[in-house]
Amino acid sequence: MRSAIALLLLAGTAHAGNNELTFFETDRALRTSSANAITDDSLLGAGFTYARNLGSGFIPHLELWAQGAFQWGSADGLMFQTLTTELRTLGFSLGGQLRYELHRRITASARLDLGTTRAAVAIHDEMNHSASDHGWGATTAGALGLDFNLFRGSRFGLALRCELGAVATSSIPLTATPDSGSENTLHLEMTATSLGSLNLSGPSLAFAFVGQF
Amino acid sequence: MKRLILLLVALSACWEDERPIMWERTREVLGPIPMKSQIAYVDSALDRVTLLDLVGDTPKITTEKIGRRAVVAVPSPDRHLLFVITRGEEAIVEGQIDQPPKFWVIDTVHPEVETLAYEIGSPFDRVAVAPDNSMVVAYFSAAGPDEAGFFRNPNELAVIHLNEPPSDLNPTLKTIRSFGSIPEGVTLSPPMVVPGAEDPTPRTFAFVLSSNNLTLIDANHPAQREVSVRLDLGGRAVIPREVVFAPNTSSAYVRSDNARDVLQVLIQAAPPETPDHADFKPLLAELGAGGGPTDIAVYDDPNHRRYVLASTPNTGEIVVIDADTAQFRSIPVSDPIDRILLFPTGVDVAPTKALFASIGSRATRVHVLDLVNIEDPLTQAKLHTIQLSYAVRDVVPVPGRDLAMLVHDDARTVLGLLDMDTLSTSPLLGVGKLDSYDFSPTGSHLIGATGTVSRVGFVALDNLHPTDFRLDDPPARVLSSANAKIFVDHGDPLGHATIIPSPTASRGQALVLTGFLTTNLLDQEP
Repeated sequence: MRSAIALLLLAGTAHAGNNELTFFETDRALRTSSANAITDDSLLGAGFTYARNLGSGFIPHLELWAQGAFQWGSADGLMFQTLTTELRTLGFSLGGQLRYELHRRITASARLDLGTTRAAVAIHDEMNHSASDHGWGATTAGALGLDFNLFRGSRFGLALRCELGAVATSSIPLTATPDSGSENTLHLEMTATSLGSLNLSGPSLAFAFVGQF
Repeated sequence: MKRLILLLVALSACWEDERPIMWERTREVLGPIPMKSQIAYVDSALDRVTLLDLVGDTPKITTEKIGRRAVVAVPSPDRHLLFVITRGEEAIVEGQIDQPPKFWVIDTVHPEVETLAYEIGSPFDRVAVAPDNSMVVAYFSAAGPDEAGFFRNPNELAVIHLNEPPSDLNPTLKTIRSFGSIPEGVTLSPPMVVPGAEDPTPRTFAFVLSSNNLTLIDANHPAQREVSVRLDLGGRAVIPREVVFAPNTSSAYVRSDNARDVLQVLIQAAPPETPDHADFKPLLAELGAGGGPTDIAVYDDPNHRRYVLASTPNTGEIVVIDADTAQFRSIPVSDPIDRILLFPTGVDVAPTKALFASIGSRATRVHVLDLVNIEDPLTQAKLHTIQLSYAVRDVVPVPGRDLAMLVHDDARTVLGLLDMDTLSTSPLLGVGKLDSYDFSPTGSHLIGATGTVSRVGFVALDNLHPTDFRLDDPPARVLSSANAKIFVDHGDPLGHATIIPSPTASRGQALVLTGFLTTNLLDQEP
């Protein structure tokens, strides 16, 4: 009901400068026990976002934007002082963002995204044994942010965005298998046991360069 | 703007995530340890035992939690129980727990039996197990204090009664009298009745071996004082190396380096001076080997009469000693014998032949003595000498067969099989160093592997026909399970093994199992 009211309030038409491209960098603190097993570090990532202004409504200075994002991330670690670990992620998401102009140069925003994440984990030991696996999981992300408008022309704008949010991911089951050798070799039948489930949820901090056109 | 910067700094300070210390611990994997029908691994960082059950077509993996920092794991003689000592931990940083050293008993045959943990007070790193699984003695190796200990009492040991639950009286911590030496080994006897004692219950005795000393502890009554036996003769240190038992006569035979003879220790009742004193005493006798025995073997003949075989290079003899009467018979042999094996192998069969080898001197021959009627001084001793092409570096009996494997070089690339029936030898040539080998439970096959070749080799011991099995990865260790499956460990800390159903199986019947040492690793809670 609240969503419907918000959409009604925002009903309007897009105008020039209604498109936006963003390059962002994120730092997600991995605080789940499964992520702690893999790495001591945060998940550092980067990505691109395309957003489009769906319009402004009856509330002055309030806008609704739709956006799609692609991002990647990585974290390395050391387990039991001998096993090195690698975590690599890819993510795709779609969502919406409400923006409210606080000041001519400052805009506040609230964002909600839904998407999917691919997590790839590899474990290596000192004897060059290695095992790896990857899996997909669902992602929900929410964030509150501030845009600092550096330049705002009639057809082009440039801003710096800072966002603080949280990411919740579903648990991703992983079964690490050793790297196979030649593809032409017939290998013995293999049974791999589960490594467990990886959860990459955690609070996130993001900085972005925003270009509007 | 300043407020914003301060806010960002505060945010970044809150960003640090304290990782539980369990992921920073050092990890050592003990194993593979062959059990009855399972293979066990002990993980000192995940504090768990992983058991691979090889009975079914698909291996079944189970884990059992144990205490912090496992240091040693030992199977029981029948391989039903796995004993693990965990060092424990002091809680110094968050995530650590205070835990004393513990002795864990894991029943691998009956998983429904709850794992027992006995607090042993000190971080012992050696375990001696009674042949009947009734009790164990945990003691220190001669390695000295480690980084986690300030003092170590090397003469302290713990006697644990496995048939009784943990309590204030079980285990019993005991410091044995020392005459300047420290234990180099502990051997537990089978249950023996002490002749003449008020208590007719069979008891287990712990024989503690240390330089110039032999200490006897009544393990059934560990609170009683131990009995010490001085072994030195005023010359070079006498170091006991080997103890074999004759439970029917409540006696033990001790072979020592630099000793003049095999020492017979006959346990007899003695009225204790106080309730704290032992109610037994050892009667000592030097059996007439003479010349400093280098190896001994004990066997019972078909009439259940016990004999001790001893090799005495100093006198150039093999000595057959009647353990009951101490009468002996000497058989001259020129080689410095230091290895004695009896055939056929097995507990319930009387041996008929003994194999003698000179490992230390690298002799190019071995000797076989016919034991039938050897006790009869009127019977001529039948000692056969077998000339070989290469020096002998090791001799291993094949279980259940009248065969001995001869190892001819340090790299274990040249082997031979000696048939004890026909006294003939057959050479075996390998592609590389035999890093790991085992025999199938019935002795039908020799199974071998070398770390640089991705193959397992089999030799059918009936006709010496060799076959190979191509692996996907180089092996680190090869084991044969009780149900004749071949388990090849690839030395991967994550767990990587190939299971071959039988020596004649094809690649299509084999199975590679991976990741079993990190099963549900990500689901572990600190």
